[in-house]
Amino acid sequence: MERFFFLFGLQSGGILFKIKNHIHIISTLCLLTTTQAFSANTASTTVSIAGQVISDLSININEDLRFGEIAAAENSEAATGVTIAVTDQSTGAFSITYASGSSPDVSADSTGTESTTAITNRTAIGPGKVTVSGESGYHYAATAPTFASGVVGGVSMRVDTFSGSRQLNNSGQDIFYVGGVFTAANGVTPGIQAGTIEIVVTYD
Amino acid sequence: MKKLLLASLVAAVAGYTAYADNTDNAAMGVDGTIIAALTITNNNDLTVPDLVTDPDAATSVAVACTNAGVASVTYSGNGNPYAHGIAAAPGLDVASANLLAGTGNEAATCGKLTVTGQTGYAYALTAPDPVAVSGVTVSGIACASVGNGTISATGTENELYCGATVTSAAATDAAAYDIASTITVTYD
Repeated sequence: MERFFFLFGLQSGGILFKIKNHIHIISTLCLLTTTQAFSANTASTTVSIAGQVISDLSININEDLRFGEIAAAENSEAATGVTIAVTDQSTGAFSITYASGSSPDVSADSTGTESTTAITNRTAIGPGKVTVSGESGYHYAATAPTFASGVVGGVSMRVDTFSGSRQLNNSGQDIFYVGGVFTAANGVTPGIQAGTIEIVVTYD
Repeated sequence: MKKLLLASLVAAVAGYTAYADNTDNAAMGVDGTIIAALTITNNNDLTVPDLVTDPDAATSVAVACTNAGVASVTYSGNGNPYAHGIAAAPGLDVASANLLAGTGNEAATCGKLTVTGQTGYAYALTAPDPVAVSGVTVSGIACASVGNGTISATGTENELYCGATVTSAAATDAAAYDIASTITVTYD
């Protein structure tokens, strides 16, 4: 009986060993199969993300807008004023137009008559000059949303309304000139008037 | 004693024979399914609108896409070329002179991909951030589809529309960029 159980035990162990080998082989095959399935079930492609970083748009004031002098209105006369109009944006050439009675070159004397004696220095009069820098070839628009600050008491200053679109050159720069209108209501106290007007440029 | 020995021998033989009778065989069924290979195809790339570089700070523009391929654009910092640093500036203008003149781009085009595979199966998508190039970083690539990650028998439901965020570091040189990103799909 002892030998019988001994033989049976050996035989059983052999069977178990074979089963383990079999399981091991099956497991290996499963791993291989899993690996192949993963590889086949994954796909990739490449997407290009493209765009353009463009240069910062900046503005620099080279010259202020200078209206020069206007004569104050007398008594019940109409408001006086002067208009600086740019006639050539490439050179900055401009014209000066005074409202009736506004020109300082025509001053009233004590008798109420007027002479044509020039009493002002016009060399300081001229449009504002602005340089804009940004992305070469791009267009921009310019606006002046506010009136001059610091100007008070029946005096107004404004710059021309811009229209259309300007283009930056091959160097990414452009220059434009700014004219405007300066007026003084009847009864304004004579004196220096100065302020600032914000010029805004935006890619258009 | 001899009888006992004989009896033991017979018993041993009988036991061995009994063991042989307990071995049996059976056929086990084996079956499986081969499913369609998973593929992904790039139909068109992602185009990002102009982004202004800022000398002092980073700027960015994000393109988000619906599952119908409709893009929306969001700028951060001073990156918007049509409202750069200006509170009172006009907004995006489709009649932009830059567009009319053929320069500049303020519109985004979603990247479009098509996935094919076994109908009804789900898949996962990965889109790692590519390496930054010359101060320009692409991040947050996100894709949307009508099928929402499940392969459909209807082709349009397998179309993915992808957007991303592009960031320009402070003082990045103004230039065009074209950065490749690998999109991978896997049965999930």
